[in-house]
Amino acid sequence: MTKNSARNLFFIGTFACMVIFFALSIHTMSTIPEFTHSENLTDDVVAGKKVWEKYDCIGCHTLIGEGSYYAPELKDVYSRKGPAFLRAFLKDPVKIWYGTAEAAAGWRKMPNFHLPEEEIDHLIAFFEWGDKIDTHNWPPRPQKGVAQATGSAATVGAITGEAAMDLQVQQGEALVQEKACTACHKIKGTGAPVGPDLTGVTKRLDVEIVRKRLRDPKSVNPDSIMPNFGFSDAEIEVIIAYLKTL
Amino acid sequence: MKYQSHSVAYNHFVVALLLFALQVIAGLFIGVQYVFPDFFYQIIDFNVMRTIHINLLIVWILIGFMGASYYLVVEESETEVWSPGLANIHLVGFVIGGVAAIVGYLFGWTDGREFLEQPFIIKLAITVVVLAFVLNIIMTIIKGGRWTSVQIVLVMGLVGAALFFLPALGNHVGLYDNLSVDKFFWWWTVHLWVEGVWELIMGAMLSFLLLKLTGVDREVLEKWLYVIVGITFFSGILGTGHHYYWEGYPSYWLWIGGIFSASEPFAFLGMTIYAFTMMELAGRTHPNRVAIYMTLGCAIFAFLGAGVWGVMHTLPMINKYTHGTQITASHGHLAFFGAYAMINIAMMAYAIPAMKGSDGFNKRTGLTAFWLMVIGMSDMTLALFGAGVVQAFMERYNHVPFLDVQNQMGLFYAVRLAGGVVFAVGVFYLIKAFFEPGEKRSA
Ligand code: HEC
Ligand code: HEC
Ligand code: HEM
Ligand code: HEM
Ligand SMILES: [Fe+2]
Repeated sequence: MTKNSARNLFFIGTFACMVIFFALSIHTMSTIPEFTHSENLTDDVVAGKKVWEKYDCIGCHTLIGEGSYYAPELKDVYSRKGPAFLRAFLKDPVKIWYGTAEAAAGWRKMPNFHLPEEEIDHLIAFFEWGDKIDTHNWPPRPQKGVAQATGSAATVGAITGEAAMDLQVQQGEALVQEKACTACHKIKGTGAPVGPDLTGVTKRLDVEIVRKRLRDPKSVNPDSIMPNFGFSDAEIEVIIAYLKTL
Repeated sequence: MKYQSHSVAYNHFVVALLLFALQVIAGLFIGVQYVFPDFFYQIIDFNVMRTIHINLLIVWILIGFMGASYYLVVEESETEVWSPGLANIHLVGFVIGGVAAIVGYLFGWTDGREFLEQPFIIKLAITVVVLAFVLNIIMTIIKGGRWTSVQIVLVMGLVGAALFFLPALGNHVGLYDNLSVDKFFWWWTVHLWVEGVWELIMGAMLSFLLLKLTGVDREVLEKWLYVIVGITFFSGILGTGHHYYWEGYPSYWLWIGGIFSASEPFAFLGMTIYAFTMMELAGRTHPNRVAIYMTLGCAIFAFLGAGVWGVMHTLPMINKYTHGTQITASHGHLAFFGAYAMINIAMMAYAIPAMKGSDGFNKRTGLTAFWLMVIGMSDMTLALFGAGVVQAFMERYNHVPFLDVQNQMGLFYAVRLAGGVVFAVGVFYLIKAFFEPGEKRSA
């Protein structure tokens, strides 16, 4: 190969790759509405993205895996933690996560930006929209959907005896983990002290009250910040079975 | 000095080196925050100094490229710079813009998009500076009338860098309200710079250094230069797809991105083989030992950092678990250092003594700098790699919550910080070598 043929190959190859790349890019842009549900891209969501940029949240967090590696991935934080937690947390991160500044000393933590209520609304709208982007199931998370848990909880109801009890406890534990109750409650020492410690809660409280609270937290305390998870009766029973073991 | 306008290159090098030192200090700052999270908490938070760290990185690399380009073009064209005045003005402009941006970050004036945090007017100022620079380079080559292949490749790289900066402006004019659209074009700047046009700049500079250090036949060298940059673009352009796996795009990117980016290391491997073969052919006779070390070091560490550390996590089935973990940070550091920091340092190690009329940097100081930086960076890379493996396995694969994993990894971050300190001492020696009288011309 001579220098000239090497050069020509370089120019032709580059041109060809560019053309293919631009063509694919145009096609990808045409699929964006479908992959990102842009019909839900409201003004609030756009405003949320601006708030996200204004405070340089990406300087600590990753979002869909890009950014900084100092703080948790937030693509799915809406479905992991829910809006009630987000609202409480963004208002006062250290209090929600660690309880007190003393408890947080020496640990990695988020600064308090003293965000106005409106910016928090926008951020939550942004997270809610981002949560639904079709990212081919990234980040990888355990595949235990509510529907699945409900279905099997119902099946468990049909089985009797100790084996069934064990299964119920396991399912309850899985649900409690999936819904991240420890974002607000301590369970056996881990978790945040926003709400009361759940260890031994069924010994402190009447099971009927726990049941009521899980069905609709506001029915017990109208100002409750605990989210309504929309649990089915079967789900509530397995959670209670688990809470009883604590 | 043989050419008056080499002083232009010199000024750029001094500024670049200074900003490099500041970048490393900012790196140490956030390295400390990883180990002691209360360090300056709520005073200068992690995100602020991280932004400063990576912005200084980009700015000093670009200013280094500018200085090195002026040096290269003057030597290759055998003529003075078209307008030395313009060159010094755009250097001052760049420094003012850079300082304004850094001070702005301390006060929360930011666009909040990684690497592209500069507010709109700063971005516009950078665009003007870069255009002035590219104009000056092209006019100098036209004036000299010698369009050598090294200069053609260099100019393609510089013009490409300017062009692919333009998508970065889109967010300011409301084009990127959709996060997935934003990320798509964000990578046009970030990926197509480091794995595209910057590689051309690097290839041109590497060839220039080999020409000067070995005296090997130009025809042969330039032919291989075209082969290497050909592989770069062939793999690197469609290789952009390795960032399009999980961002809300069609799944064909998993195939295209995977296959093409997996061939990107061949370009870096090519540069390594190229550098070593040419050195071998010449019998390594050039007296500037420090420049030879830096050049070969660049060839090796670019291949390790970009090629090996890049291909390691580039296939979708692996990237699914390593995406956005410390593995990425490990790769980012070794690749940026090996390829772009080292090529700049190699150009300085060759050009500065040549301007001053000495044989090379003081050998002791220069080689101490080399080894300390190499050892420090290797330590940092391996520590972050260890942290990344644990994180990918525990958090991504086993679904343990983020902080539960991070809080177990203090040791890795302490080791990284120690490597950072070693690296910083190396930078100190580099600066010392820069200003010290060089080796005397031996008989
Ligand atoms: C200085 C670094 C830093 C910055 C800047 C930052 N965060 Fe955080 N963030 C953290 C850390 C650390 C955590 C982990 C929880 C804790 O310890 O507070 C966290 C946790 C979170 C969580 C909960 C994540 C989870 O998985 O439960 C959310 C939501 C969040 N941050 C949102 C934001 C938003 C929105 C911004 C921008 C306004 C932001 N963060 C800016 C460091 C930061
Ligand atoms: C956003 C925070 C938050 C989340 C998430 C949350 N809770 Fe609560 N929870 C609270 C707060 C706060 C209280 C205290 C009473 C109140 O304000 O309603 C509470 C009270 C309770 C109580 C009554 C305890 C008592 O001693 O009075 C139970 C039981 C309970 N939560 C269970 C759960 C379970 C199970 C989950 C997960 C499925 C969960 N919570 C998730 C905030 C939360
Ligand atoms: C003293 C040595 C250094 C230390 C302690 C250090 C530390 C850090 C830290 C803590 C981060 C943030 C990572 C995160 O988000 O979690 C970072 C990011 C980064 N640093 Fe450094 N750094 C140092 C030197 C360097 C050098 C010499 C270079 C390049 C030549 C460099 C290039 C980068 C890059 C490119 C990023 C962004 C990485 C990414 O987004 O993946 N750093 N550094
Ligand atoms: C000198 C050349 C290179 C440099 C400077 C470089 C630098 C970087 C940086 C800084 C990032 C992090 C970006 C972010 O903040 O999200 C990154 C990501 C990445 N790089 Fe490179 N890189 C180079 C070459 C390569 C090559 C040749 C490959 C593949 C063979 C590669 C594969 C990747 C991949 C897959 C990611 C994404 C990581 C993730 O999913 O989190 N890189 N690179
Ligand atoms: Fe890339």
